[in-house]
Amino acid sequence: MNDELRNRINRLDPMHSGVPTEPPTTPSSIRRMERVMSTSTQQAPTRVPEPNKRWVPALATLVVAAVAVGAFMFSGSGGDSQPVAGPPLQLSLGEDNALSSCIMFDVAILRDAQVAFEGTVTSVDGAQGTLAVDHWYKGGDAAEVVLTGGSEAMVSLIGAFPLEVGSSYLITATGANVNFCGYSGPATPELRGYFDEAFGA
Amino acid sequence: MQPIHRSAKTSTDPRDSNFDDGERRQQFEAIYRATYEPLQRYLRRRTTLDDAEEALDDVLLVLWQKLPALIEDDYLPWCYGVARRTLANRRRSHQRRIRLLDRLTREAALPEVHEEAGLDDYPQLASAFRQLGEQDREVLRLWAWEGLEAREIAIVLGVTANAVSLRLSKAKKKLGRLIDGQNPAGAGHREVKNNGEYPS
Repeated sequence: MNDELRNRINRLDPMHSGVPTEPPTTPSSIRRMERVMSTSTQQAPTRVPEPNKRWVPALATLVVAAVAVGAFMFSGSGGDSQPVAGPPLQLSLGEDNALSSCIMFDVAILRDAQVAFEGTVTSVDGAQGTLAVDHWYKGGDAAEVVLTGGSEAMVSLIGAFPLEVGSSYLITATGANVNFCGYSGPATPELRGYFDEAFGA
Repeated sequence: MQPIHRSAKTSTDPRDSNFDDGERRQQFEAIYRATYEPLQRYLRRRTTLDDAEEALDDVLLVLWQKLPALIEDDYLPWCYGVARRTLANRRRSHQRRIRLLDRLTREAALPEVHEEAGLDDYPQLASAFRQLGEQDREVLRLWAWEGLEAREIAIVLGVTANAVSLRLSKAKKKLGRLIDGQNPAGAGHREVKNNGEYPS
């Protein structure tokens, strides 16, 4: 009887066995495989100064309180506005004198982050970037997050990243400080996989 | 900065000096050959052809990066789990773009939703299936279309096997009741019990 039900559901399968798929042996499949295998599987190693301190060496030292500025309003065209729930959350990208060492990346450490989300940069204004949150993994429900205090020095020192309008990023933070050293960055499939592993999809 | 898989054995970690590049490529090629077509089917069952193609690239990249976990785990359900999360993330990003576009146009089209086949050939069955909730439909798809057992479905969904067994059993009963509801006389539909239940 179970088989009969399974057979019935299989009648609805748009990819039943009669629908062809591309075998892994075609030239294009092999090219695809080679392309995947040509990607790097690791990042440049960084000195590990004090493993027991976990986040501390990696974090910027600015502390910026989350600010509530009332319900954020998207400014639509022709003055047609649409309210979006949740006040923006403000996080700090740190300051120039942050320590220059990173601890080794570990999903277990990633899991300890208090704030984690994926967002798309909607604007960059000087040292401030604004992200529209696509997905909250942990620690918030704001529709928008404002990152402040970034600098070029931070990029070279602790593996921070430039913000580009329209690009998506995966961000973690402890307190009001964004975590770098691989714990935040552009939303690559690899980093997203680690976020999913740490926080659940 | 280097990611570490806590669960990975040192000897199978591609970042370990004992796991050379040739061995890593060999392992991935074997995984690739075994999962390439099942992953195409999985993705194309749940999204458009174009989106499935792009999602497959994302999935394969994750598999390449996480090869140690693949080696140690029941890899096909694990690969489906990666594909599931990849599709979910792509949908979130797509919905975000749609919302931004909607701010400008107010008439943005919703993303193309994949439809089950059989609407023409099996309209009553398709109608009954579509009356189920998405969680019920997905567990039934994984069971019937991907041919997975509860233990394997649990890996895909990231829940316990017991939870899957319970959900699967309930979904079968619901579908049976819906089908029976469309055929109250029950004539010609002996595959469903009168009470709508299917044995687990």
